[in-house]
Amino acid sequence: MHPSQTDPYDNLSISAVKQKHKLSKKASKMSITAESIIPDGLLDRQEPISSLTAENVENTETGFISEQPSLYEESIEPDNQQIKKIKSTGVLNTETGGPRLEINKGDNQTSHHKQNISTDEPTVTWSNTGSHSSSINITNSNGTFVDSPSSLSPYINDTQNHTSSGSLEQSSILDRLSLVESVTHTPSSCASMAPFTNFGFTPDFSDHKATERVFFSKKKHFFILSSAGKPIYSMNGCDDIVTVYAGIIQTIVSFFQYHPDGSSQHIRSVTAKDGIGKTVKLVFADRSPILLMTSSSTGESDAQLAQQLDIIYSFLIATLSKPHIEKVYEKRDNFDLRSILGKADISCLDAICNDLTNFGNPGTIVGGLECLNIRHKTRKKLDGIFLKHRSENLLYGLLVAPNGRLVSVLRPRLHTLHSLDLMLLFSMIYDTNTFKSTVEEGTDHPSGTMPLATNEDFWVPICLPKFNPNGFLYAFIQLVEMKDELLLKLHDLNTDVLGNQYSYVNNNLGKGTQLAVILISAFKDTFFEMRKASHAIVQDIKLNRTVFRELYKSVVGTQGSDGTTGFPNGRVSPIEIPAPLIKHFIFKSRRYTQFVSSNLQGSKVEMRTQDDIKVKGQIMELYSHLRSRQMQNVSIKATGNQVGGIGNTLSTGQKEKYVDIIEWSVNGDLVTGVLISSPSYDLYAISNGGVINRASLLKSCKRIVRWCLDNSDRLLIKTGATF
Amino acid sequence: MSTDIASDEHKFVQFKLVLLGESAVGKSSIVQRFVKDSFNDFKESTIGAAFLTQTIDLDSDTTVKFEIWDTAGQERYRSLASIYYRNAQSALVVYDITQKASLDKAKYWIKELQKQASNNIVIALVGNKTDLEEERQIPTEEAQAFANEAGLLFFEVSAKSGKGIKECFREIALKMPIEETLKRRRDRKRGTVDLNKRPSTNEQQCAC
Repeated sequence: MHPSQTDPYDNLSISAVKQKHKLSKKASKMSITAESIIPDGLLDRQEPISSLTAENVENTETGFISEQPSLYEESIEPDNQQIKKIKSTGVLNTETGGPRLEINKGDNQTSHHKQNISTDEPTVTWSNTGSHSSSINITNSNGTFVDSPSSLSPYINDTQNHTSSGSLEQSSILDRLSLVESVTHTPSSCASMAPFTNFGFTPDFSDHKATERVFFSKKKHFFILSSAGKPIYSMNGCDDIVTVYAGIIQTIVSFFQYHPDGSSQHIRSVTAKDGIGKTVKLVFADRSPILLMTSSSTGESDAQLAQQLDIIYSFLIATLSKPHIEKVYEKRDNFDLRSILGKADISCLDAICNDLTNFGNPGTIVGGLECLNIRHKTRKKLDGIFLKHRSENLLYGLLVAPNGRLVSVLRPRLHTLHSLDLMLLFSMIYDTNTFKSTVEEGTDHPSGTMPLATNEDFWVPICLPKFNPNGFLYAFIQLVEMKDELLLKLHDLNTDVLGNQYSYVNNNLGKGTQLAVILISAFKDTFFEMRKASHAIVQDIKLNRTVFRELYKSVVGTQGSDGTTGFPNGRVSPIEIPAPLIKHFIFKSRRYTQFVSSNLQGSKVEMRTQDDIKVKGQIMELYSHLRSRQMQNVSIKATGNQVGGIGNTLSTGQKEKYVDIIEWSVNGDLVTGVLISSPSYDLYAISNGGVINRASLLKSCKRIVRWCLDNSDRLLIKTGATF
Repeated sequence: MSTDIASDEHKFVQFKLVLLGESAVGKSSIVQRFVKDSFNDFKESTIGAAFLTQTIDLDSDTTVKFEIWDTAGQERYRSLASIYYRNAQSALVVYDITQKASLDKAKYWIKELQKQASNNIVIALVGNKTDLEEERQIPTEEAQAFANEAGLLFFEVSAKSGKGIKECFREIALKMPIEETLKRRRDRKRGTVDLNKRPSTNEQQCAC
C-alpha cells in the first residue's frame, strides 16, 4: 500500500489546506479548572526577594550566556510590546479561582486512533512575509478565509479559538491525568515524602526502521528536508515513508508560498484534533534552502514547537555552517544533503529529537544552561587556572561536568556565549560515540553507557550558529576521568568507589564521571597550542587538592564509611533548603540564562532513578506544560482577548509576577505544579503525594527562590574568567 | 624521558602518523585496535579528528612512539586534512576491501600526500575488513600491484578480528628513520652541552 493513500496525517494536512474535510463529532465534555491565585506575601515589597528582584530588573547588564531572542522571535517577540503595554497600565488581576475551561472530547473511540485523526477544527495559520504581518484563520467548518485584524502575531489565532485549540494544549497530559476541579485542601506535612507519583509517562525513541504502523504510533516527528523536497533527516520511518512525506511537506509549504497573484505567504502551523480528543500539531519552519516540520501530539504550544525546530536547524548549521549549506544547494537544488552527513551527525540529531520528545533536556524547556553547584571559592580558583594557562589564540575555555553542567568559563570580556550554541556542542560530545572509548572485548556495554575516551585529544571544527552562523571555530576537547585511582589516593578519597558496582557512582544514569575541558580557537592550526594549554589546565586541576576534592564531591560524590552512599552534592535537595513540600524544582535566572535543577526529594531509590529518562520525562513534561500555559497566557494578554483563567499576571508598578498552579489527580494521588515567573527568574516546582495547603506551598516556593538568590554565587556562573 | 633519549642503551623515538581514507573504511577502528586492542561494531563517524599516542617496542632497546592523527573521512573535512599530514613522517591510507570506490579515494589521498606532504613520508596502503572476505570487491593482487608501482607499503588487515594490525604498525615503525632521528638529536644535544660546559674558555677567547 502506498503510504500516502492510507496515512491519516496526509489526509489531515491536505484537508486542512484545501478545506474539504468535514467531520461530524459527538463531543463529550470534560471540565477543567485552571486555578490561579495571588501568592500570599510574594508581592510584598519589604520582602528580600522582591527587593532583589527589583534590583535585577533595573540592572540592564546581562550574564555572559545569552538566549537569543531569535529563539522566540517568531512567537514571543511581537507579543513583548503588548506585554509592556499591559505593564504600563498596571493590570492587577485579583481574581482568585480561575474560570472554568471546557474541553471538547470526542467520544467516538475506535481501536485504531490513526484513522480518527480528523480535522475537527483545524486552524491553519500563516503570515505574510511583507512588512505588515496579517494572520489568517481557516476553518473547515465553513471553508472560508477569515481575515483577522492585522498586526497581530500569527499565534494569536490559537488563542482566539481559545476554548478549542487553546485548551487542547492539555490534551496529552489529560490523556493520562485529570485535573482537579477545585482546591480546598488541608495541609499535609508528609506530602513530599511519598514516592513520586508515576503517571505513566512512556518515552518514545527515534526509529529509522519504522514501518507505517509504527510510524503513526509515534508521539512526535521531526523532518528536515530541502526546499526541493528531498529528505535530509527524519526522526522516524524507513526511507520509503520518509521520501513520501518529504514530498508532501514540501507541497504544503509551497502551496502557501506561491500565490497566483504573486504574493507569498508562509504556513506556520496546523492544529487538528482526532476523534478521541487527541490534538496533533504540525509546525513548519522555512529556512530556505532547508525546510523543517514537526508533528507533535505531546501537547506543546506552537511557540515551543517552533523553538524546537530552531534547535534542529541550528544543529545542521553547527555541523555544516550556513554558507556550506547554501553553496551546495546553489550548485544543485536537488542536492542530497544526506551524502555529507555522517553517522555521528545522525546519532546526534536522534539524541536531540529524543530529548525533545521525551522532555529529556531541561535546558530546552526552561531555556538556559545548568551549572555545577560548587563553592564560589573553588570556581574562582578554576577561573584563575584558566587565566594562568590562557594562550594567545584561545577564544573560549570551558570546563564541563557530566550532563553538560558548566563549571567554569573563560571568555573575552566583550563576548558572550549563547546557551543554544553550548547545548549543541555538549550534545555533540555526549550524544555521539566519537568521544567515547571503545570497551574491552566481551564486555556488554550498550552504546549509551560507554565511558568518554580519556586518553585521546579531539580537534573538532564546529560552527556556533548563534555566535556566527557563517564560519567555523575549532574546539579542542580533552576528557578527564575523575575516578582515577592515583588521584583518589593522592587526595585521600575513598577508593572503594572504583570496585563497587552497586554504588550510585557506577549506577549513574547520568553521563559518567568525566570532566571535559573544551578550548575554542578561531584558527584551525592551533591544535598543539590548545593541547599544551589544556594539559596544563588539567594538570593544575588534578594536583590542586581543594579544587579536585570539591569537584569530586560535586561530580562523583563522596562515600560514607559503609561505602554505599555516594551522592554527588552537585544538586541540592529541596529538603535541604528547607522546602519540604516540594518534590523537585528548577530555578532559572533570566539574567544569566542559567538554571538550577534540584534532586528529586525522597528515597535513595528515587534519587538513583532521578536521571532515568522516564522519571525525568514525567517531571519535565509537567514543567513544559506550565511553560506552554505561560506562553499561551502571554499571547492572550497580548491580543487583549482575555479568555482568562490561565495564570494571573500580577503587576505592581514595574514588577510583574506570573503565578500558575495546576493540580492533577493520578489514581487518587495529587500532583501539583507551580510556575512562578518574574522578570528576573522563573521557578518551576512540583509537589505530590497528598493534599497541600496552598499558602504553605507558596511559602516553600518563596524559600527556594530566596535560597537560590542567596546562594547564586555557587549555583550560577556570573561572569566567568574574562580577559 | 630525557634520560631515555640520552642513553645509548635504550632508544626512544617519536613519529607522527596520520590516517586518511574514505568515510566508513575503518580508520578509527584500526587505531582503536592498535591503541586499546578493542573493537566497537557500532562506531560512528569521527567528528573532526582525534589525536592519540601508542608505543611499540621494536626490540629490547628500541621503542617507537607514534603520535596518531585519526582523521574524519567525510568529504566536508577534506580541507582540514593538510594540517594533520603536514608534519607527518608516516601515513596509513585506508580503504575497504568490500567497497570498490574506497580504493579510488585512497589513490586520491596518496596522490595528495606525494604532492603536499614531506618528501620522505612513509605511506602504507591498508585494505581493511578482511573478515568480510566473502564480500570482497578488491582483489589483493590489484591493490598490491598499485602499491608496488607507487612505492608504498601494503597490508590487508581486519580491525574487527585484529588480524594484521600489529604487524602493519610494526612494519611502519621499522621504516621510520630511527637512527637519523637519534643522531640528529644527539648532535643537537651535544651542541647545547658544549655551550654549557665550556662557557669560560669560549668567552675568554671571544673577549680576546
